Amino acid sequence: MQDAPVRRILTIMIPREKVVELVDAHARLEEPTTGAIWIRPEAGEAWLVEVIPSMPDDEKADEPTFFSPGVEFRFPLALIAGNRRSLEAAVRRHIDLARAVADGTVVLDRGDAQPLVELAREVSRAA
Amino acid sequence: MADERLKAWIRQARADWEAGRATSGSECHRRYWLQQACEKGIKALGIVLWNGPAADDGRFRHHFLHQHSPLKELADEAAADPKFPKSLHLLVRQLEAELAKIDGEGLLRKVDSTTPRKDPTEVSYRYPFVDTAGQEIAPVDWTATDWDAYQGNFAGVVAAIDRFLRAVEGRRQRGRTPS
Repeated sequence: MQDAPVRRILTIMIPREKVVELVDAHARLEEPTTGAIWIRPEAGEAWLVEVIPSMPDDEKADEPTFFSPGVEFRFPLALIAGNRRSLEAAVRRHIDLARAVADGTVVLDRGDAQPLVELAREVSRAA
Repeated sequence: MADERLKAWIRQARADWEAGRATSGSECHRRYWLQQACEKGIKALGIVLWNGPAADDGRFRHHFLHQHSPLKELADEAAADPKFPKSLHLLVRQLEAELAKIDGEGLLRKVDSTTPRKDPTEVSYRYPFVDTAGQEIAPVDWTATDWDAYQGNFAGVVAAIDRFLRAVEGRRQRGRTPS
C-alpha cells in the first residue's frame, strides 16, 4: 500500500525589512501613518496596527482590513487602522488586541506608537 | 474565475498599450489609448489587492472599476464622504503605496488624473474643448508638446505603463502557484 503523501506545512516568514518598507510608504502618503506596530509576527499575514490621524473616529477600529499580496509588497496584509483615540478605545475594549499590541514591535513612531503600546500593557496587566 | 477576470483586464490593458505606442493614427488617439492602458492597469492592481468585506464589493465596483480615473475617483470619494467604507479608504492608501514604489516619477498617477471628459471646458482626449485662451480646440489639433504637458512625456508614459503592466502580470502569475 502506498504511503499517504507527507503533508507539508509552509510557514511564510515575512521579513521585517519588508514590513518596515510598507510602513514607510504609508508614512509618506498625503495623509500619513504616524505610528505602526507589527503584531502577531507568527501569522501568515503581516498584521499591522497603524495610527492615521486623518481618519475619522471609528467604533470598529479593532476590525482588520485584509489585502492580498501586491506587486511591490508581496505579502498578505491585515491592517488595523484608525486615529489614535479610536485605537486607544479599541485596545481598552478588546483584551486580545491589547495583548497583541503589548507584545508587538514598534516599526514607526512619530509620537503615537509607544504610548499605544504602553496603554496596551496597562490594559493587559489589569485584565 | 477571479484569475480569468484579472487576466482579461491585463490583456485589454496590454492591447490598449500596443495601440497607444503604435506610430499610426493621430497623437490624441495614441494618448487616449495610453490613458486607457493605464486606467485598466490600475484597475487590475486594485483587483489584485482587494480582499475587503463582501458587503463593500458593490462600492468597489462602482467607485473604482466603473470609473475612468479609478484612483483619483476613489480618493476623491474617500475624502468627500466621512462614511465612506474604511476598506476602500485603506485601498486608496495601499494603491498609492504600491504606485509610489513602481512609479517613482509619478507618471501613472498623472495619467490617472487625466480623466476622459465630455465637458467642453475641460481638456478631452476625444471631444472638442475650449482651451485656457478661449480657443475652440479639437483634440487632433494638439501637438505632441501639448500632450506631453498634459499627460506626460510620451516615451516616459509608454515605458512606465509597460513596466507597470509587466509587474501586475508577474504578480498574477506568482499568485497562481504557491511560492
